[in-house]
Amino acid sequence: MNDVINLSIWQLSIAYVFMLILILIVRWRGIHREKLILIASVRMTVQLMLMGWWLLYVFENPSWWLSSLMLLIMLSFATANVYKRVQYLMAPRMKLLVAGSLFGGSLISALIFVVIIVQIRPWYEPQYLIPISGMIVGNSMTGITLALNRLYGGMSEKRDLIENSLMLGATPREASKPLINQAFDTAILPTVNSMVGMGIISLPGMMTGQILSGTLPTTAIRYQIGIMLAILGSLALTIITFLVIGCRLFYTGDARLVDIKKKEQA
Amino acid sequence: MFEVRDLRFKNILNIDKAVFNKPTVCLIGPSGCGKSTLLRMLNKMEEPDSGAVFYNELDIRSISAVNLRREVTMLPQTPIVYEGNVRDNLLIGHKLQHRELPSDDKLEEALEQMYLKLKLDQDTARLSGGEKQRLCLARVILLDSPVYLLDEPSAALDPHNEKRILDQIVRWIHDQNKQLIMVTHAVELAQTYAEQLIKMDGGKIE
Repeated sequence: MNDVINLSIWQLSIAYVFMLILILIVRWRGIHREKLILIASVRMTVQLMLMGWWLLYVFENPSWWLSSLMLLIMLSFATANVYKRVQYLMAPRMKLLVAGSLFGGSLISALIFVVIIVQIRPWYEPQYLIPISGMIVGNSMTGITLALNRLYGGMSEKRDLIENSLMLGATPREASKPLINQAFDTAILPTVNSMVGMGIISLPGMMTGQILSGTLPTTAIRYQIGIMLAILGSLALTIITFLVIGCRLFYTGDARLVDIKKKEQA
Repeated sequence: MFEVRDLRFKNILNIDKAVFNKPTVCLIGPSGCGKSTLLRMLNKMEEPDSGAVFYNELDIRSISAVNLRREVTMLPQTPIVYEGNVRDNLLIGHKLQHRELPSDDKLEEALEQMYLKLKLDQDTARLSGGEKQRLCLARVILLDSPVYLLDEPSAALDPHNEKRILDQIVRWIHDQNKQLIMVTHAVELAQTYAEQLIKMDGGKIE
């Protein structure tokens, strides 16, 4: 296969024409989003440049602690992102559980993929570990956010139904079982649906990237298949851990439902 | 039998002492006077800020909430119908308690007791308010619990059904040596059925 074409700064700068087109359109239509578009483009550029240099440094100096630090940072940002995207006020114990499930589910799946499936030695080889973990963490993050919003939503909307089940003598676990199953379903469905169209209506990012950089398509799809399955595993682990333990946090020791509050609308 | 002592809850309840020791007890009073809240205290659906509730002379704090609710079955004011057909709805209590499921004959008997002419396989989505309420009553009656807490059990019923269904329930309570504690805002109704009448106003017992 051909080597990848190196993109010079001058070539790249032509791509900013697309941003200018967008700015012209919003200005013409009076949509007042020029500032946001500009900030977003600058942030995207600067952040990716920093990440490029940082990754270059990490790749040239592979070490277990540097890779671990990267994972820690990635997971911390993902956790903070979940907190931000949940529309309900979470108790500290709930936040801790979200972090624990996300860390646990993602790390277990990423390590299984890297160490047992791809058999990368050493395990912390950043060229593999970091992008693969990134994909797994990203998907788990989206999944747990969906599960959280669905669970909180269900617990507040279906309060009467849950209380009725409790009055009929259900344990909290029994009373919330339908909600837990619904939340699990909501969280895994987007990923499962994306798998249905994969290869026909979408070419996944990792595979496309590998092909662009000269990898044989037949090799690239194997990685893609593997990573999709790892993402699925991570989603399942993260979400079921969170849901099974999390649903108990909606009840007092006396099996009463706690009050659920939405975040103040900004 | 229930007894409450020095019960305080937010600015809703303020009761020094009350004993519920007759087979049929009616709680009456204007809306918002704390009747439903008091009822919810008896099966731990609400926790008082201070004071205690005794069930058969036992402080309910020493009884697990789930075990208590399996003996003291409560029917909330709004009838709650679960997804599925009439049979699913009648069986849900037994399923949630992991008890042996009653036969179809038993289920039909319970429907009959509530003067409901429904098929067990019928979907519940299109039932009227009154039918839903009677379905929920049939569901709790099937559980055969020693004590029942009913919150406005006849609110959605027309006068004809209200009378014959309450007659039926009260007779059943007496025949089976159970206790019924019922919240209602209809004084006439309470006077007909209650062996003990508790009047509430502003969170207090008069």
